[in-house]
Amino acid sequence: MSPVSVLAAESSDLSVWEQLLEVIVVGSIAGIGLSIAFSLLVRGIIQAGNARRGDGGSALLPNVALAAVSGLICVAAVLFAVYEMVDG
Amino acid sequence: MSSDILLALVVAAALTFDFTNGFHDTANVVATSISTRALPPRLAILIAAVLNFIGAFLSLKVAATIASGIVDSGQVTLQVVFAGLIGAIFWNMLTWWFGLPSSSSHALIGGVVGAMLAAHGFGAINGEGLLGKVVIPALVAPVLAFGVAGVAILFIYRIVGRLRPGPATRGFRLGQIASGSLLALAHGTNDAQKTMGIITLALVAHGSLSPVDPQVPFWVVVSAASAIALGTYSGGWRIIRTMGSKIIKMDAAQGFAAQGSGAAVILAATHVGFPLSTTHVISGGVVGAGAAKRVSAVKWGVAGNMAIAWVLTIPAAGLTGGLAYGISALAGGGTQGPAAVCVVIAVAVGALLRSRRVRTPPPIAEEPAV
Repeated sequence: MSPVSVLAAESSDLSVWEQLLEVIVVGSIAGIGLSIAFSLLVRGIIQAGNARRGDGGSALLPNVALAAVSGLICVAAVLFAVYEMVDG
Repeated sequence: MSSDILLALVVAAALTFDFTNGFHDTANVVATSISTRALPPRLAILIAAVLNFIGAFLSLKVAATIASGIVDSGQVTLQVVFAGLIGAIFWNMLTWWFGLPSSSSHALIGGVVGAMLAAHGFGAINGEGLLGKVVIPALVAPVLAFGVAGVAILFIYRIVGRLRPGPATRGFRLGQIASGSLLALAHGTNDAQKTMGIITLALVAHGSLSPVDPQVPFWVVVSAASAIALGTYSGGWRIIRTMGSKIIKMDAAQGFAAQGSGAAVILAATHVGFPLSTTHVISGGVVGAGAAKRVSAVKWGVAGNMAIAWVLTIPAAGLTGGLAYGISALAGGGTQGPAAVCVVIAVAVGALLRSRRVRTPPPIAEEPAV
């Protein structure tokens, strides 16, 4: 193998490992983040329902806000996913 | 005339592969939803089939090369493509028979690599491409999904653990339907395009399409979309059972952690430009969501069989692809080669069906009433 092709091989290896690291970081944030956001959405909706019925001692407004914010994050994730499919 | 027959054989093999790809990968999309009763089985696969069909129309950025960066694209002939497809179909059918989820994309790559080895030797294979595009992603995908789904389910239990189980379960079932739908759409977009790419390549080689910026004909899009949707609707029930209930008995939150976080990982990886196998990610996610709750809840024997199938995918599909190319070359290549492979397959399937009929004991006749 000539020095040039050795360098090329090393640089392509580096790019694979860099991509790999990026996938691990981005995939972990996206996977765990989406699960947390959706759980907070479920929690917010259930707690807000409890508050409206007056049981459980939970406050309505913070739970509605929690559900709204986490719901927006989930909707944004879905829209991004569809964009990725169409554009990717 | 003979090139027309070769074109017809390659198109038929490509659509058959697309069909097996659909029913093999149905489990990725519907297994967790069926297992947690988020959707009834028939409705789940109907939705998956429709979304696979729609997904095939979403994007037409068809790569006209197969296993690009892994094999020398300049040496890929229609006979190689045909043999590669035969290898992939064989592996999809075998793993379906044993109820093992495995990557259809890796099976296709394995088939083409095996056929290329038989046709042109090791010089036509890019080892670094194989390592970077297939081996490393295959190692990373299940481990990453295992970790992500495991951490995700711990967070989920922490956030909703003290809520009444009924409404929370209903919420996560809805989440499963949404994430499953996204996966089905993504599957249709990505996997149907492989078939469109193969058929487009065959049409270019036949001279029916211009090699300069070939446009995918509408009938190719419709037939690829229909084949993957029909395959999905046929439902690979053996694999659905393995993924949905044989690895772990999952609740709705675990199902969402496996599928929702899996979908996020797949799309994030696609965004980065390092596509991961849907099968590897969702299977790893299912095991991770189960192990995080209780390690002994996972049937490690089933998970081990899956891992063995993944390791064997490239060599086994490659061996079959190489064998198919060998038969094709022995028969004189050209159109006779693939036709001879079809005859060999028909004879083998006939013998298999015949042996199964012989081994099945006849029903016991009732004693006549005295």
